[in-house]
Amino acid sequence: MSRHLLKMVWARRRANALVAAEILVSFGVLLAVTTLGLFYLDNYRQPVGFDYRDVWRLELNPGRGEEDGRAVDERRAGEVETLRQLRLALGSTPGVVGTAIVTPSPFSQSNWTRGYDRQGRRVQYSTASASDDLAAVLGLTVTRGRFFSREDDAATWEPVVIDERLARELFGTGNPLGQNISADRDPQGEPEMERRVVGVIDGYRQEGEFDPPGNYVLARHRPDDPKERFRGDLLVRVAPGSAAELEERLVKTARAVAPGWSARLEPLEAARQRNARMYLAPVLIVGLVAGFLALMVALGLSGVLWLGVTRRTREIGLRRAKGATAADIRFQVLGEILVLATLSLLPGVLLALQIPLLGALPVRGAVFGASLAISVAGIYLLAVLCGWYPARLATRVEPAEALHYE
Amino acid sequence: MLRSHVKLALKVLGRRPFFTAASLLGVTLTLLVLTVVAALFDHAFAPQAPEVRQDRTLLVFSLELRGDRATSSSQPGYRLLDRYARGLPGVERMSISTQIQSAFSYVGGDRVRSYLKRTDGEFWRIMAFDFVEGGPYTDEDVASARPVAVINTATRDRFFGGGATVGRSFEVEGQRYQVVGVVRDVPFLRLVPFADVFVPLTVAPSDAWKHELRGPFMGVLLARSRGDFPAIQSEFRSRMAAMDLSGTEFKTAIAEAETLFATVARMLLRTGPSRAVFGAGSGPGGFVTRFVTVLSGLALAFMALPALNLVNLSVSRALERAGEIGVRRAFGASKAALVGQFVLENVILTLIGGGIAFVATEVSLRALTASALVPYADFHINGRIFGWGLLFALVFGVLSGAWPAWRLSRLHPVDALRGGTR
Repeated sequence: MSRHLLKMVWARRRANALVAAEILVSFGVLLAVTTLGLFYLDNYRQPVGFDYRDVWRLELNPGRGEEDGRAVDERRAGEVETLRQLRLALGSTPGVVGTAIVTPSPFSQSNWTRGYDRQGRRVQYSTASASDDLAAVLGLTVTRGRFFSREDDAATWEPVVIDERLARELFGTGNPLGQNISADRDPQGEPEMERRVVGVIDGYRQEGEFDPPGNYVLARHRPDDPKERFRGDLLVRVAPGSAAELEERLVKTARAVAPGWSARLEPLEAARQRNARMYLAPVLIVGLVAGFLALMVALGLSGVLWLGVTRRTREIGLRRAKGATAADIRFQVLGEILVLATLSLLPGVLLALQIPLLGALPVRGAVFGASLAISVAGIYLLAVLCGWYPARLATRVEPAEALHYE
Repeated sequence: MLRSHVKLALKVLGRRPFFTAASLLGVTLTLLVLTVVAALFDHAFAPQAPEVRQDRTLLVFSLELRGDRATSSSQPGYRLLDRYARGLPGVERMSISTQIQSAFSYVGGDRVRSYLKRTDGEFWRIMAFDFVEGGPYTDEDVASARPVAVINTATRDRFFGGGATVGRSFEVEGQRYQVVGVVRDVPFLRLVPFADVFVPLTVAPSDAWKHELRGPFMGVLLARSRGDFPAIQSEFRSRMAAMDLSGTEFKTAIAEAETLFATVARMLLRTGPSRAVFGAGSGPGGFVTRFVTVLSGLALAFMALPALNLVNLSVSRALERAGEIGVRRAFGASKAALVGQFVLENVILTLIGGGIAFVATEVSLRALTASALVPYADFHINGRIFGWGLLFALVFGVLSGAWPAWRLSRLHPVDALRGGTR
């Protein structure tokens, strides 16, 4: 039966070629849009790894020139003292639960990357430097080992905390604790300082829900060490329901304790919303345009199929006269469009499968597979929807009337 | 004669309302999307007040420092611009200002966010702002770090609720400023002139910014003419190559004096979600080509589907009327007359679609402006792009209607009457 349908489609290949091309292009568009949508959805469903609610970011700029001639040590010692006093003052303000330093901070759109590079194996990861209190302030979940603490003060290596994803990627099912993740050697050829894993956290997606999951490493930052440069972001956890009055008070406190520093405060929630808008705007625009295109294609295809049926009134009438039922006719019209859709999808799917084969896939394999399946199903659905009315129309053809032409 | 043809064409189109609607929808949607995108584009790039001299303006907007261990992408600092971008040959005026930064104020227990920009006095001579009240601050204000500010009308309304504002003062970032001028709102997407609050460069808690290579600054170079661009660019490049980076962890500094378009291309391809798609940057200059390629690729991909759809519909419509063509041929109509009739029908269809699209675009742009999705936006239809879109629709509509009509008209009338070839 399907061989017969194939024959019918092939016999009208010239008229069908353009329709097939339209289905093929639609498939491409649908696949691109679905992949984008599922990619976002997949990311959205993964845990962010930290609790940004009731956490505010105080951006501080100690305002120092990079090479302004002042004695660096003296200046940094002063900064360390100011920062200590500032954190004390903030911590003792009613409504403040705790403070921590992390750079780059969540939702800051600033990204530091480094590479694990040992024995010829390279793995990229994003990184931030964090003070001991970050785990408490952001509510991080330590799954193995421990977070940084004062016991690391005496360490001759640099303690780091990695996320489960990186632990899995680097060490598989093995124990990541105590492992060194620094590169064999730095670009000058000298061995790098050991970076030893002291703990593993559940996850940490710096830019929030829409951030594609990546590997993450937190390195220890010591706010009391003048050798380490303080880069600016202080996170403050406040009691739930704190309002703008407390914000104003904290900023005033900061300016009083650290005159000459610029201070600016914003809840992480506000930054998160701004971030989300930035990620979602392109998806919304693409989705809207794709919706318009789908509507257009649906109308166009229905129209073409409809005319196809009207042009074949005689053929259909003949079949009816020879005893074909209404169901047979409907099956023929729908069958032809489904065969045509299959013929157009074949090259489309083959082309789409080249993307992962070429290693050019920017998303997870499962996401792409699901998108492919949804797109194929979507095209068939479109074909059936567009063919439905013309197929019904065809069943209404009266044999006598149709044959009357001959 | 033409009138009767037009009347006939309209009758034909009315006979099959479904097809006419489907074709119209295709034409309308395509033009709508194209024109809205073009309006957004114009909104960010087209020369308009206050950037009236944009055609001879170059920007130094980003800085990349490369070393063995680390690469830093940032904006240029004041020291870099002051030392390396001043006094370039062929530059008439040069201004240094900061990028916009969020600045918060607390008014009656609420946090109010403004975009703050620090500028020098020269900024006001390169940009032609439209002052509603007062005027800019002077070079002297900047030199003596006077806490004065120019604000836009939206900020005036937020803080003072309208009315005469010059001479009154308000607080931003814990610093009180006296208003000396009020300017008309500039769209948010204009990278160089947009801000809510403009204050002198020198009003900052400390003067450390003067010594930094990296920082949130931008340089605006006004050339005497476009012809001076290559000389300015190559001189700046060679100054950057000769820059002294000793005492830092970096070896080379890359910054370019570029047009607004090139600047935006670099920014878009390097940051945010698009970074994941297009990867990190390549060499200098490659951004514009890549950006244009990406944009035209997207435009072509977007147009392919409407074009195919339109062709399919027209071809079907023409084939359906094989019988009619046969009859008219049998009664002696010339091929040219037949093809002409189909062409006219498609032209009318496309023009109606164009008319609807024009109205729909205007409505969408108004809605977009009113929605404040983009702060202070004011979108307008770009006639040129609309015209090109209409031409595109005409070409496809006409070719796809005329070609099958011409093929059918060549058949023997009897064959055409039987419904033509398959």
